[in-house]
Amino acid sequence: MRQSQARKKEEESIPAIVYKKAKARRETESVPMAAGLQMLAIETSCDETAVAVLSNGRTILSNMVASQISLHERFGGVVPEIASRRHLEVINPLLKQALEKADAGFVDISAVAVTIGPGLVGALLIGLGAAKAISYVTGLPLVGVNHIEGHLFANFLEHPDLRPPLVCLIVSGGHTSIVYMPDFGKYELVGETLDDAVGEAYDKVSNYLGLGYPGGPVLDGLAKDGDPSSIHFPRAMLHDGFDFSLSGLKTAVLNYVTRERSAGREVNVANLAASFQAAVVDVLVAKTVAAAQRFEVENVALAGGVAANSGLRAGFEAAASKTGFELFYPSPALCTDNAAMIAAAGYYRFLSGERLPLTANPDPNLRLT
Amino acid sequence: MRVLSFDTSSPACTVAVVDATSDAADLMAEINAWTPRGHMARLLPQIDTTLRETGIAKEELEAVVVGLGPGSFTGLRIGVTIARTLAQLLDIPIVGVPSLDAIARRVGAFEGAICTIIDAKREEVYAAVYESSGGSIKRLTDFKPLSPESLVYELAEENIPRVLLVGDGISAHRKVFEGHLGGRAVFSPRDFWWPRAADLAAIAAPRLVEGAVDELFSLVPIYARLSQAEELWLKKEHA
Ligand SMILES: [Zn+2]
Repeated sequence: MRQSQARKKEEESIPAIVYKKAKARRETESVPMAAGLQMLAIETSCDETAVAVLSNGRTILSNMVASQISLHERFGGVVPEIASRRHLEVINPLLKQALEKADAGFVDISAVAVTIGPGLVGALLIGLGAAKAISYVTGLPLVGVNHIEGHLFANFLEHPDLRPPLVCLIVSGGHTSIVYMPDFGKYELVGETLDDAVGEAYDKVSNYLGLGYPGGPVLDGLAKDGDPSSIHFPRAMLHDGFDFSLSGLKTAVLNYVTRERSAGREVNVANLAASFQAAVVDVLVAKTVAAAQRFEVENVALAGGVAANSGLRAGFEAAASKTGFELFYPSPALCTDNAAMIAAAGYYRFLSGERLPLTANPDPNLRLT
Repeated sequence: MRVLSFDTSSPACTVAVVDATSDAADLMAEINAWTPRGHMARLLPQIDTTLRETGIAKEELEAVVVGLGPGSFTGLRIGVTIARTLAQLLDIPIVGVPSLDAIARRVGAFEGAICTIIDAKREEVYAAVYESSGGSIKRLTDFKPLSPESLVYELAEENIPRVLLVGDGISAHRKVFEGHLGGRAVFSPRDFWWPRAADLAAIAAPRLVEGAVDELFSLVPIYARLSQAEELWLKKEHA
């Protein structure tokens, strides 16, 4: 009884005509659209606090990100307790800034989206706590978003012509997986890392060489001046299914450095970075292209923080022109964690009627498939 | 002044609505639930139920009071995040109150020294010492975590005839207190060990009436400890 009343109230809070129109349109085309629908989104799954306002599922009115990289730098990785403390400090001022930048008040917002996982549980709790409090005070409907789905949706934000079916490579500090997306809201896990995530491998190598944190941008930058064929590193499981293994590559790099140093030879860091990156990119490209062929899709998308890596992009560009698939990836600012992508994914979930209750908990191990 | 008050520093989730004046905080409703690790799911529905009991709409609230700990880092962050966001959205003042002060207030009728002790894990307690006299309580210490042995040592040093111990730190370390303080230690009954939102509100009431409220964007829990990563880092730096 109370539930149906609550649902009725939620539906009243957005114009009924818009809601119907959106549903009807969804049957005829893949990308759902509803005019005049503004989504507030919050993302706190790792080390970026982010708040965004998105109009009609596509137009970014504001996209505020407070990065914590400098806080975690000296530890060589994200420290969960430090991340959680920082999220709490910045979430409320950031919310204010995001609304001001969007020139919006809560009367202009139709729904609130929030990342509920996967991620660091203490960090997720801050975003979810704030989002639930907003929903409680304003009565706005609340939608829970999978962080990985958010990364994938960054592509739809920037490429209005992109439609499923597609194959997406999701690569970040915490995730490395290939996902087949036959339609909106439908996902199939094709392959994933059996050990280190790509971003993690970059961090570990960079850390070992004393080059700084985060490792991805550091090594990507160095690789530009190096010769990728100067050192041969293994391409693990290259023709062996769709799963990845990156810990062997990391060990090979560390062994190489130890060997060179003990022989009194200086390591050419640019060549090392370029060769390491080439090994990573070769494997990621080969597996993703194989997945695209296996599912007979024409669209291949990249998502996640590592999708901003220039070596990775170049590798995929080359494969695209050779194999003939259409390649999509978000601009660098939308590759790394942000709330606009959460709003885009939340917008889709909202239109399909999903709601999160005030009793919701985050799910640090939430899966897409 | 209609005030919403809550604390999530302990395994209990406590929510109250009071009518605060300069010298009193009249309780309108209070709900206490035992919800270890359940604060995220329970707090907002419990706030809603408590408000319904009073007939006050959330828009009619005039201030938010929240327990700052020390206590469970996660529990504290849930409470403070929700308190800050409610205050921000409702555009009302916020006041943070140390949760240990609320525990001390519950046993304020005791004349003499009061020591609040809560379990801080890692073989330590968070403790504070108060002087209670004529119905007024004054805190004499801050909230550093320390071993129960150092705490009893400090208490034994003071020339106190009797000290009332209160808080869930008693259960794991009772023997240490008994052994070192003997008959000088008085133990409160178990049901006084956890903070109650009505006490937080009563402590905050004078500040609310005077307008001596906290800065919303800088209100954070009393962690009393660095993260373990920072502690290790400092140890390494000074090694
Ligand atoms: Zn991410």
